[in-house]
Amino acid sequence: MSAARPPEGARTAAAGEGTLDILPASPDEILRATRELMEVAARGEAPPAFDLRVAARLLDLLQREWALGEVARREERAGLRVLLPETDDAASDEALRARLCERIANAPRREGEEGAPDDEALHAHLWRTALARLAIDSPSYRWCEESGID
Amino acid sequence: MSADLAEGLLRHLRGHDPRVSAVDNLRAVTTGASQEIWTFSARRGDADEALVLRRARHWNDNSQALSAGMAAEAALLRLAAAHGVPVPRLVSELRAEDGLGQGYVMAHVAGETSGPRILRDPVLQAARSPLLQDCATLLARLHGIPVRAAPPLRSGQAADELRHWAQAYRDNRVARPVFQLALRWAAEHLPPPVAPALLHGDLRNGNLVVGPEGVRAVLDWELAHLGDPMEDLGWFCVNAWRFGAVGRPAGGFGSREALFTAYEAAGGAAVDPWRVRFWEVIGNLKWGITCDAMGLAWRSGADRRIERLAIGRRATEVELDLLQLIAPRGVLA
Repeated sequence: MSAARPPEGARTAAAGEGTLDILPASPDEILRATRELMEVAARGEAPPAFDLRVAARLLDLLQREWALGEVARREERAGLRVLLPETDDAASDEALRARLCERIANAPRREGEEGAPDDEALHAHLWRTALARLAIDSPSYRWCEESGID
Repeated sequence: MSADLAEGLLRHLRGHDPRVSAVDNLRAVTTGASQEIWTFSARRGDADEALVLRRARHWNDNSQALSAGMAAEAALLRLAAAHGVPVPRLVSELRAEDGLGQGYVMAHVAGETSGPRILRDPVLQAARSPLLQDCATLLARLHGIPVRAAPPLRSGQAADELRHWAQAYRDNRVARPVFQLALRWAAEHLPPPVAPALLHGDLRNGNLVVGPEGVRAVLDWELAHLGDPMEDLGWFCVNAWRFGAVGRPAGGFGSREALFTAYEAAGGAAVDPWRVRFWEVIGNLKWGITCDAMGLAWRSGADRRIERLAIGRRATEVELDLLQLIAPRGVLA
């Protein structure tokens, strides 16, 4: 199979090397933001009702994170290690994801194929991981176009 | 703060019309994420007029980078109105000597603006089919406005938009393999440049004022630019703006095919569904990368509103929407 260089736009879009940040809105950040709101309330100032509703929803999210997060993280990590056998145990989740991003950006384009690297194992991993995260982050989100009219 | 603003607004309005005697009920609208929105009423004689102040806000270093600017927005409201695109009437533009920052005052258009409520309110249910037709018609009219009539705006064809958002993704420094795959897919499906048209840039359910008879006004012109008209159609179809009505891809109102047919019938250019799909992928990337950026704005301290964290977590929703577009696997068992 002959390989062509990946298109320029995709290659330059690689997430880059070095330390990468953890995903935004970590459990710790959610707890800190909620605590800040409580401190505002404790001073006798009423935080906006909108912010309190958001905080309540984020606490629900944290409960789901507690229930499901560890399994989701373990399974994502196992999937990453299968896709990236050259990596070692010490690599952080962020480093593994970054490595996978580099691979996606730099994978040669296969002759006669249209579109992004069509890698069944990669797609299966991305679907599994995204669905596991969605069960935590937004379980009621409707995404499947074929699932019918609301 | 809001007392100072009310005073400044009154001075500003009286500069245009000395009969204005009071500014009342000044309230910040919390849903305006990237610009400030204030509603208020202006007393003139015995009558109160409901007005809206829109003012620039900076929530991170990059937050205004794509914005048309307040002066261009005001000019676009005039231009769109002259071409039959429903918009709020422009009342006045803030000037430097007002000391109120950059922005403008427009008439308040009564009606429903909440995307989910527009899709679920039984009174508006009846309006849903006109909504698809209205959006298609106003998009065709907007895209038909001669570009030379537009105020100075940035230009962005497919390659420019992809480059911009690939950089925004890298700037976030958060590795998301799904976003990376979508960036690569987009690079491999890059459509050729087309004759540029005037685009709204954020035309979707949620930026419309709706009544039972249909669309009363299109809001939020800050992302207007010159580019591929299919960009507006693709953005309109992004799943986040269907608010759960997933099976009606065109804004939660109807099918893509119905949108395309109505757009062409209203005088819009011939629609290439694959080009619209490219823009739907880019649209999802824009929203997903923005979700991360908002979560990171909390982290950096640039914006400590707790809602930023909630939006940060919504990047996961976008991952599902992107996978469905670029690596579909059908209905899951």
